[in-house]
Amino acid sequence: MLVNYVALLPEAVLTVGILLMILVRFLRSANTAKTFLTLAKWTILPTVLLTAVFYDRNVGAFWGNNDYTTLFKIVISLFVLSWGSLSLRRFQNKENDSFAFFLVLLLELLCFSLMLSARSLELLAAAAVCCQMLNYPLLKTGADEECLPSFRRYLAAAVFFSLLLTAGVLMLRYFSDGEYEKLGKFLAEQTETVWQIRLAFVMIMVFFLFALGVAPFHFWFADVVSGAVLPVAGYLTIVPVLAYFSAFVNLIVNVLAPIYDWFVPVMLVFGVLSVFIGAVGANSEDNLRRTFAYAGLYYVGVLLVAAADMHGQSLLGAFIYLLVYVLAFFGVYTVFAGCRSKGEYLRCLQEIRGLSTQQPFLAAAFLVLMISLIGTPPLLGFLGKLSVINTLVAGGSYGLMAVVAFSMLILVCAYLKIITVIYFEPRNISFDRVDKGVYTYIAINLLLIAVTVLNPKYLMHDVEMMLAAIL
Amino acid sequence: MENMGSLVNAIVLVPLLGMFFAAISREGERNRGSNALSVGIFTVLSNLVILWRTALQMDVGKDGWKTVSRFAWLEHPKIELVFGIDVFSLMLIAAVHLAVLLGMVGVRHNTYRQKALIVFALMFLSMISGYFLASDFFSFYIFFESLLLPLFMMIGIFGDVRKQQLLYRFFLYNLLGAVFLFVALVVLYNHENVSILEVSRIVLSGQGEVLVWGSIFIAFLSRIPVWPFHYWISSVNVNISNPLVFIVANIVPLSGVYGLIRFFPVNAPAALDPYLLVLEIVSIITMLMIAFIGFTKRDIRYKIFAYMTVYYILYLLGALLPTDALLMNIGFSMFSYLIIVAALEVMVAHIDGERQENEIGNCGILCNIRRTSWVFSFLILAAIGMPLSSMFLNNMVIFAGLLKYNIQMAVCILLAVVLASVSLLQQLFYLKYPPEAAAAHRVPVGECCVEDISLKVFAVMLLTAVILVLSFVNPLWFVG
Amino acid sequence: MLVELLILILGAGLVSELVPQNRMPVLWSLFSATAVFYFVYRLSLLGVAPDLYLNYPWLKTPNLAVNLELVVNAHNIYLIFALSILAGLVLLQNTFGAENAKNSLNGLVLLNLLSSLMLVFAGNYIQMLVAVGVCDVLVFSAVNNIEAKKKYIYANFLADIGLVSIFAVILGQGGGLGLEKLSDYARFGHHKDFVAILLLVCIFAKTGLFMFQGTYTEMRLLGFNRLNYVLYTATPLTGYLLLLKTESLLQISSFSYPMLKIFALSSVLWGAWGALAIDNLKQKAVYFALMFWGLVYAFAAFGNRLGSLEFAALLTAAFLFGQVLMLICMAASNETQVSETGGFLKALKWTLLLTLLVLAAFFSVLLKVRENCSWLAWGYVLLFMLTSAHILSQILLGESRADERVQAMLKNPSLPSWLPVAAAAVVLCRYFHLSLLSTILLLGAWIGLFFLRPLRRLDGLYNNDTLQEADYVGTAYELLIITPVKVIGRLLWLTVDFVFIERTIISSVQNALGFMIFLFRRIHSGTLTGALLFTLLGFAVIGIIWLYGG
Repeated sequence: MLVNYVALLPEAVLTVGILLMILVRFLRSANTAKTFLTLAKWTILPTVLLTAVFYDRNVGAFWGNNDYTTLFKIVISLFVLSWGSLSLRRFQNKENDSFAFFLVLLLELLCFSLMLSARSLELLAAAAVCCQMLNYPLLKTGADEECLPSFRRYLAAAVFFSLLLTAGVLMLRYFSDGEYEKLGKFLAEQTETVWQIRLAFVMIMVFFLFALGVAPFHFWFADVVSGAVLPVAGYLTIVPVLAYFSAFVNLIVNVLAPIYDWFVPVMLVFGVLSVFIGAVGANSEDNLRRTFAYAGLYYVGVLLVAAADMHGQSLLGAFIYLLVYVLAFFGVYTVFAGCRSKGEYLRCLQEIRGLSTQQPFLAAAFLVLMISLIGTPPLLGFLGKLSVINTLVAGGSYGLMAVVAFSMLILVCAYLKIITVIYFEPRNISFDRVDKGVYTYIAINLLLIAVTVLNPKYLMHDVEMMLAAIL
Repeated sequence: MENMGSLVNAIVLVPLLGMFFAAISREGERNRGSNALSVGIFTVLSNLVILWRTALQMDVGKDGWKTVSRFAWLEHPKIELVFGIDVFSLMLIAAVHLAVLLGMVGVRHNTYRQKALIVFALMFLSMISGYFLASDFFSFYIFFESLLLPLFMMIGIFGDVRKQQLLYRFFLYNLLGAVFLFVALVVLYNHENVSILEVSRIVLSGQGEVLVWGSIFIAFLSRIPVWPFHYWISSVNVNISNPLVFIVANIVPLSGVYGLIRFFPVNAPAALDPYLLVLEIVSIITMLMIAFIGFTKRDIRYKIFAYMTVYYILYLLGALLPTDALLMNIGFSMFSYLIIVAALEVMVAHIDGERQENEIGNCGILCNIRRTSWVFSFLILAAIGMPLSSMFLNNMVIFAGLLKYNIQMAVCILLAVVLASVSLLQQLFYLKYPPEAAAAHRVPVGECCVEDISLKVFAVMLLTAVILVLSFVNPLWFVG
Repeated sequence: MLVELLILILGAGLVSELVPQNRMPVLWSLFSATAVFYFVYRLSLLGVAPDLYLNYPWLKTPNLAVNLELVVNAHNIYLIFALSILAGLVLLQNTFGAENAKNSLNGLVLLNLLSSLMLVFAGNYIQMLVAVGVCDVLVFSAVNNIEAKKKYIYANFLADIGLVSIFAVILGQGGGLGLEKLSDYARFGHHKDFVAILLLVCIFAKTGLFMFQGTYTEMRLLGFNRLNYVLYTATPLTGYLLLLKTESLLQISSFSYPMLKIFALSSVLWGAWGALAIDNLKQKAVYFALMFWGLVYAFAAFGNRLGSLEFAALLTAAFLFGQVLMLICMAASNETQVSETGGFLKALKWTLLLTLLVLAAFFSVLLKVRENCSWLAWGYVLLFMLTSAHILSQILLGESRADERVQAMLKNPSLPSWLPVAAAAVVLCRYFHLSLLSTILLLGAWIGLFFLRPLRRLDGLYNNDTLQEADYVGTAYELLIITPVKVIGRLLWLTVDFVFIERTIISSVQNALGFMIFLFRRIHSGTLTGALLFTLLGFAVIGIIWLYGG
């Protein structure tokens, strides 16, 4: 029995890494951003390794690992690691900021890990609430004063929705044990759902929808992302969606499925709303991060629409879509990391005019990524689009398919605007030299896209295997 | 057949390889040949040789569509990318290659982002070749949509489109068509995964049948300048001064016509007949309208656009006849048609360049440049259907099909063809022989500052003329 | 043998076309003429009733299995001779006369000869249409005047499209490609009136009959030799050959022959009027050609279909008269305005003699071939006498109005120019000889008219600028066809493209998207109220679905 506790080793390593980082910060005098990055690296890499090794160990009834959790943990860790490396330049000569950034990164990684492996509602809620609360110090890292009000608004909303989650969990605890297995069994035995349970269910769902930034609970996301510094904005765009969505699906499929069915229309309405608002919102912005924040809303909406019934085929489509879009977004933010002028990261559309003339490879990568996001073949986005549309057609949801497809056209307008600015307009500023790291990550990203396009079986197979673990 | 599969794969891959080499090539010095252009020309020529080798392996007299290559791509949903070929596809690919080659000759002096131009042109060539070879639903769709990217980039960077909104609309409505096709093909695929030529095997419910086939129809139609789509296409096309980009932009409607030819007419369900009739009427009205407008416009590019539109719709209507007996004739005619338009555009670009450089009018500009004038006249005569290319006889067979089907409609089509052709003639005379009223703007004889095309370009154009004449003598001359 | 000869013509034509324009033109012209006469010589070895039939498979596509046919027999041998001899005469004249771009013209004449022969040989309408089309292209290249070129190609292109349409109709109805099967069309075909009338219109346009003569009247600025080549051996001839090949199609409609008669007679009359009224000698030559073609068509319309020999002879005679006018023009230093001539008889006695020879040949041939259409032949003779005598009298006898330079340079044409025409006229007189008395009477009558000039009152027409410049048919086309087309085009652009699509559809879509964005920005104000509203909306959705949907 005791030997099973080694399954907690990745989290233990993360905890040790966090403590070590705090010690270094306060006991060592000559720290740089690189110091904290190195520490984060050497914490995350063993974590990934140990996660892979103990991929199927359970600890009591409250903690379980399987293919699904392992894959997501590894993917999230790798994204955190990569994005952390790319963020290094932003924090050079800023010891406090870099410490805060990398520390919160590790803390959130720990929370996500807990959230994914948790087999108890209380643990899940605690981890999720922590994540939300940790976002606030993360947002404040290096941010301008004028952005603080929007961060505070976010904090207020996060507190509100966290309270809802907590209340929901407590209400369910009132009726049953918090362990997934027991709770699931209890809910399955209910012939008629009492309103209190349904209310608790709604509270939990709403928290996750808020955390995912689904419309109409999306109001915080664009403001937060546009106000934060690039490393934070990139992190918030790429990583949490992976963690929350996987935890959300895990929770519904394994625990809340018996009382979920009535919620499908809500998911669809919110999904459609997200798709539409995301597409229109992306067009209404000149700030690149806001544009991509709304584009992200569109993709999350598609995820919701595709996965709404939480069945095998639809989840397969949704997860393929999720991985494809997160990979593309990572690429987009990598490009943002390369778009600098006089040391400043560029945010506005007009600032990157004529990028292709001075940084052709960066521009080409941006182009490829956006085209992939549109879902144009033969790029990776097409696989995502294919899996979602095929799922919807197979399920006979032609109306939803039409909404998804035609909202994409509205979203495309926003992308076209960006492509136009980069390629068709003359340059009006001089861009800084792009770091080798940015090129390296772009190259890796494009290579991944190319390999996956040529042989998508790997991606498909992995996602299928992963889903088999929870279905 | 195995060898044939490799050749067919190579037709798609060689331009991609060329694109890669062009992308990493060093820009040539100013006023010297661009390395990317050399790579581009070499790539197209290489692919033409491959095409010729492929043609030699086909029994052109007997072969119908032959599946020659398969590539298992996805497990779930199970998707195999399948390539095949027939004489019709072969002719179109050859014509597109020759047209792009001519376009590359036309941009040999371009100094503005030549590398990007060649890279996107080669990408386009690869995609459209793949489209003509696609044999299954998904490869058909993949190539159908993916050729939009190079098209958009080329038009955007080199197209001189004054209003970006126009460009967006152009791309969006093309993408809209692709979305329709995608959705329809996914629906068909979910019923049964068959090759395109066997699509009639899929039986759908009444309303579903109309919706799915209607979507396919709209998808292909969006590429053809049929009302109201003609407006977006015309507003983009007439602004393009770069010959290669103009050629590429004007090859795009071919993808629509080709799609309709492959899916229709033998595969289309009977439930679609009333809609087909509506489409035919709209097409003919469009033809007439654009021909009329082309007649009144002074801009030669609009006239070429009008001419192209009228002919594309002619081929479309030919393809929509309830028979596939005209397929070869449409292919033979299109072969010359594409080459003629490409060569014509190269000449127009040269004239335009000279006009701008010397700050003179177009009127009578050809008076003192004999080589250009000769080539231009030849091309216009071939374009209007004189017996100088395969268009002459094959158009007659297409007309025969149309006249047999509905003489009233066919007469309208003929009227549009006549108007579009007369518009081109008008332009020839305007450029070559200014009327009395325009004599004041005429380039003074003896003080000619307008440069003729170089001997090299003239040689290329002569070769083009020879190819056209050969296509008249025997459309399949290249296989003996 | 025939194939080799045709290849010889083709080769000679291409060589002439490809050699530089001004490189040894006399030599190349002689070379071309020699090639033609060698062709005639080799052909003559076949005798007057050869029977050669060569059939080569050409196109093998399922819809279009076409054979190339080369047929020489008693029915066409004279026509082949005539076409070749006329081409030879043009080439000879090109050798010794003044002409621009001689080498190019030589090539075009040879290639045109070849295309005309292919038309004569044609046993299927694909070969026929190709030959007609090629001829159009060659003549288009040969015409070296702006306006003439323009009118020529418009008219002939439209005629070609018309022809293509007619045969497309026939092909579409499964009529087969053979010309001999056209007679079956009366049995199975539809749209018979349409086919017959359109066919006639196309033929008229090609020949330049009345209402379509504008194509050729504009050619007044061409060299005279070039003009004669176009008028008698090129496109107008293809029109007539088309008529011969497709005559069976005319019988399917009751409108055909009346129409043919009306246009043929109108052409004769309009030609005579033009020859009398128009000052320019080259235009007069065009009107004489119009008269001639009108006559030929009238023969066909009134049931006197000319045989190969008769037509060949008549065509040659008419061509020779054209050559006479050319020689007069050459003799007068290329002065083309008849009103600027007069009193040339003294210096041009040999030319007058040549004229008489040609007239004798023409009258002989015409009266020999008249058969049951005597009234037509005699009427034409009378009209022709009146017009030709009037014009030649003005030039040779009239009051001299030529400038001094013209007067001083006036001389008979050189022997190499004069002799072939005279020889050809003599040969015609020899084969189609009338009785000596008839010939003397006819020539006497002509000479009488020549000296009396009964139509001298028409001289004043030369001073009428409006008449001289008038182009009634052209103006009518402009007003009735071109202008409405332009107006419709402008209207369509304005209403459909601009007002409907640009200002209505596109603007609406743009405004809708703009409104959505405006609304979006208003809602996403980034305030706490906005957040509350969104949250409430979310809960409201859940509440509604809970109550009504769950």
